Amino acid sequence: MKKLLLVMIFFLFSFAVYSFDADMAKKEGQVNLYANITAIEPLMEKFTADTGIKGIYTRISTSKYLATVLTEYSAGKLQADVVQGPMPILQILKDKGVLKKYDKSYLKDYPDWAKSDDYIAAFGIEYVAIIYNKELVKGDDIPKKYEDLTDPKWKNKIVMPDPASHATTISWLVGLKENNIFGSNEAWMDFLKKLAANKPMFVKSFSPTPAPIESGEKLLGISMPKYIITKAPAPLDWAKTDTLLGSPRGIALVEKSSRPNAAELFFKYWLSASNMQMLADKVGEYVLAKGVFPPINGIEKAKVLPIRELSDEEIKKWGAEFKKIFYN
Amino acid sequence: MIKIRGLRKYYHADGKVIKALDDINIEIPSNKIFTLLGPSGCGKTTLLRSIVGLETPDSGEIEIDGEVVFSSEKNIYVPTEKRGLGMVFQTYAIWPHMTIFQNISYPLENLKLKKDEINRRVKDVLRLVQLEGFENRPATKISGGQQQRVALARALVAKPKVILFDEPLSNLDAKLREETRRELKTFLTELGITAIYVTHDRVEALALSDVIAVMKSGRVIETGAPKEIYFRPRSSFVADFIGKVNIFKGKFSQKDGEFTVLNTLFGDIKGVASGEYSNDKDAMFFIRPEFIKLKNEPLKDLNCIKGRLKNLIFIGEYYEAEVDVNGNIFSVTISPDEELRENDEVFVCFEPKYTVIIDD
Amino acid sequence: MFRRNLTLTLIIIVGFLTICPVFMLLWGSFLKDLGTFSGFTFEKYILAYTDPEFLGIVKNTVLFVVGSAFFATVLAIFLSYMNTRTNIPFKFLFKVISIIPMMIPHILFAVSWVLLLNPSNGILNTLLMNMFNLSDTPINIYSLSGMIFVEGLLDLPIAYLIIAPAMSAFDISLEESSKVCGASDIKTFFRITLPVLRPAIMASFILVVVRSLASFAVPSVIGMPGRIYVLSTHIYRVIASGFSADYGMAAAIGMSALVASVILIYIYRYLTSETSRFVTISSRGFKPSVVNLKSSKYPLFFIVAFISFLLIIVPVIVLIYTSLTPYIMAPSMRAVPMMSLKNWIEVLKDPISLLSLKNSLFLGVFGATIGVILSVFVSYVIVKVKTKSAGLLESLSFLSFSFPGIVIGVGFMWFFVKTPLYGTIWALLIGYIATYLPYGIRPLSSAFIQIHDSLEESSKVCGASYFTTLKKIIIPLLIPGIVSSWILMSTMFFRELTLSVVLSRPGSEVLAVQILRFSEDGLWGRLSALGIIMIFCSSLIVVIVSLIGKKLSKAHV
Repeated sequence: MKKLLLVMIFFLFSFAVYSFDADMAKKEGQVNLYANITAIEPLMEKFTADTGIKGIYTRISTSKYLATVLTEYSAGKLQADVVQGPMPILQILKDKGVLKKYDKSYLKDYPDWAKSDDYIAAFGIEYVAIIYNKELVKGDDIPKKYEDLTDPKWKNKIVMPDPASHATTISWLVGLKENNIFGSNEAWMDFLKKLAANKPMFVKSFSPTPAPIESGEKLLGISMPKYIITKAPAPLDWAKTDTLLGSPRGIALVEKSSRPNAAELFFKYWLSASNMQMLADKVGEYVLAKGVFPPINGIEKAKVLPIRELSDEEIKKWGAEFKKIFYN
Repeated sequence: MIKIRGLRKYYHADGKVIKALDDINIEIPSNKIFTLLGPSGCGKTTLLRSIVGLETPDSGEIEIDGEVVFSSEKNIYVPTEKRGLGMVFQTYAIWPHMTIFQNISYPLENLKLKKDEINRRVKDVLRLVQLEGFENRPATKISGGQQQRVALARALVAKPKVILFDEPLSNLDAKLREETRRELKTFLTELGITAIYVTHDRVEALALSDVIAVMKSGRVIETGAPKEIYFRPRSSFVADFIGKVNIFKGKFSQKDGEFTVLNTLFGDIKGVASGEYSNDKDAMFFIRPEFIKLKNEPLKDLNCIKGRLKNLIFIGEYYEAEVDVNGNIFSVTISPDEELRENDEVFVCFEPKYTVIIDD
Repeated sequence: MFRRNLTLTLIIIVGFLTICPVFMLLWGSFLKDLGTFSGFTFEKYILAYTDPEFLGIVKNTVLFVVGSAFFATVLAIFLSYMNTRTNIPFKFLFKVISIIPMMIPHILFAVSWVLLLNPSNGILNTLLMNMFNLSDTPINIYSLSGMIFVEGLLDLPIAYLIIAPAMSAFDISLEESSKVCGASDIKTFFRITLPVLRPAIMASFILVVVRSLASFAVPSVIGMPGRIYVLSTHIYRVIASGFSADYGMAAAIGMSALVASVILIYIYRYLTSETSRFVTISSRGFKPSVVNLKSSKYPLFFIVAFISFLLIIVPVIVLIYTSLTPYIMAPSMRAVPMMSLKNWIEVLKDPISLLSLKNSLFLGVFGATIGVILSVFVSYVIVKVKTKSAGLLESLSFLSFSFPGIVIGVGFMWFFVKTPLYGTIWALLIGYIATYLPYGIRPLSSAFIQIHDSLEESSKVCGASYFTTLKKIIIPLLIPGIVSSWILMSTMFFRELTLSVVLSRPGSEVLAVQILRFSEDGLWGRLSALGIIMIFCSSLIVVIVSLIGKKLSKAHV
């Protein structure tokens, strides 16, 4: 109740200052969000209940994201008012002129890097960690650092997305190098080679990674801590490494939206602390709003860093490189 | 009356041209049974299917009772269902998912007749083909002979201008075939309907038809009444196809009143010529076995040739035998009461009026 | 005249439906920049086909598709022979066995088998290990043979629904004459029955080849962990590595699948061109006789029961089990106290799941009906008209079907976005029919081949127009084929994923998309619950339609 009141006050305050018209937004009636982030239905319902504007969630997977948005855009049929997706995709949309500038004051409590782009606001990090089955991996066996994955005892016990083709995984592996997690490039390469020697099972992306861990088919894997929340009560936990890496998640307004006021209202609502808290609580996302953490044991102590966005050429190059290492 | 003019249909297969119909010109008289007879592959079925409209010829014209139903020149093609014909298929084509009644009433439904009219006419035609009481039988639960009658009833029920038969008896056993043939003849004659009948069976053709057209390689070789075709064929192909025959070569030598004399290796043979006569022209004569009589000595006014009796076989109604004349074989039949033995010396004698001379 | 018009009309309709998306893809594969649709290049083809790995992928693909097709077809021949021609008990089992895999979402089916046969803790593997005291798990599902096994099972319904109607309409005199000639039942089967059924067997084989060429679920769930890549996963890899997915390149690779399929279809047409040789229904011999299995009756039944146990009961039990557990756990007594109906309640309360159920029901029933009507005309032309343009029509009908699913969806999107149908359920309907037309056409063509021309000709002589003939003679004789087609199309539409995932939008969600979402969110329990609801609805529809079909054909015989 107190929270709601706060939100209301926040709203009243903001309406006076910012450039959109709440009445107009109501009249526009709805807002369409294209997103690759999953399981945000409760957030959309909450938005609809709070504002009286219908929030529509159009879910588009990463691999079809650009094709869909650009096809619709070039045919003049882009139905999105707000787009959410990985930063590199939003960058391309920005370059094509699909996006609109946003008001940086919405991101008051965010780190500076999150609002460094005039068009795209970063609000979270798709953080990656070592996830293990807490019923089958116990005590001293629980990895504490990334190198622990290379212990030969994990041979045939690891699952991870395909390092030769899965873009986010490739970026993450490169991120480990660029953030100097292992101290040197040689140590990083050594990590990769030993990991490859443990013959991890490759799946097509992150979403199929938790299933073999929870069923006990594999014991641990390179996966995402958010599954600890979304898959509860599955016996999953994360290895408490001090640094976690991930690609930033961004959100942006669409330039030619036919519902500009509703879009702006939604955009602002999305970035609000209460919405971010819900995102963290319900979906287990790591968000950038200050002081908001997902309810995962120990996550607030971890350093979670955004990785550099690789270009498609780099991803292809590194993918080929990793293929040599992992497929032999 | 059906008039067919210049009908052609060629098929192309493996780079060869097959002439299924090669310039067919015939007239099929009304209210008669007209038979297309010929060996398989002669084009008789193609001609039938062209008349009914299931095949489209390459060129020519078909006219049924004054109405042109096909003309390549005038670009006319009346579709099958508008030609108002009836047809009995070789397989009968009884629809297995319908009852007898449904099968037979089908053409009437297509004429949009009233229900009681349909009922009445189906009943009538069922009585005609002696299948009363079979109305509600499923089409798959009847014998071959009954199926044939259902097919006939279905072809007749709409009172078509012409009824066509595509070897309708070939699926029946020999005894049933003979019976059905007789029934069909009586039946069609009583109805006085124009019928076109396709068969490769000469006995069937002779027994049923008012007119026979013999076909070979896409052409009509000869048309005529059964007796004409049988007794006075105008080609060796027809003579041979229509029944057992003895054929020998010779040369025209002279006219002798109504007869023509042919010079052969057996000496002069007198006969009836059906071709143009001219001196020394190559010709041949033929005589059917049943007109040959075996005598102990030559008879006057008959063609008689001396030979030796061979291969005497008793087959019930008569003996079949051969007479060897210096290595030339005559097939003959001998009445069972004749007392002859193999290797007897006999004279093969036959009357000039049954001896046909042709010049092909 | 009519035939020519009909052929032409159908070529236009089918051509429009299938060429448009394929043309968009062809165009896209030559473009530098897909965003603006500009710039011409061969680069994508050069890149795609000079990839040194491509040869290995082609080899895997060929083994995979031919293996699956062989497995599915042989199994279908066995089951349909047992069902239609012998006195084996409990015949209804066969129909169920052959259709159930059609209704299980392929992802679920593949995951079930992973749970059963994975080399770490697969349930069956553990069982076998304990039974025979093995030191290691005996079976590894993550292999080419594992892929062939699961894909073959998934494609079994296609093969069965094509072969069984042909088998049941077999002219018994052909077999009887073989027996008269002194051949045993088994010899008759191999020397007479199989050769005469060649068109249906070939059709099933080719359809399964084409289908498994486009299949993605099994190659991704089973192949990728086993590091075995086939064409569809190779394409996925091309799309997935990089954020601006290169669908042009994917289309360029997909073209080889398209060419392969078109060639296969021509080979098939060539091999079965003398259709009259294979005519088997005539007026007589409509009812095939029954082979008495005598002493082998129960052993054979045991085999069939075992197959059905593997095929339906095991995966369905796995589904029911996962729908009750809060997360994926290996079955043990420990799981029992954790079981609840929570997943079911969540699904039944979820408005999007309910909407997707409604939409899928509409598409499954209405879409399949339209699809079958179109298929009747198309297969009529393909089988009975036999001109060059009929061959063209047949190839056209396979065009979008033979394209790997992930790519064709994008082709349809590029096409539909230019029409007002974009984002509506009608786009899905049209896309489904265009893509899965072969499901309708194959069983119907096999059925058409067996209707002797004279049955149709005699109707014309009786004064019936083409439409009357179609309505009164051909359709009633076709009922078994129509039922097969309808079931194939309907169950396919009911669980369609590849097109839907690209074309469905809020409001036009369908079941498979919802299931995919659950799987992406890792909500296996809800996924299984929705999957069971889906299988149940699908089975219900199939049962109703089979009963109607049975009643209709009984009324006539």
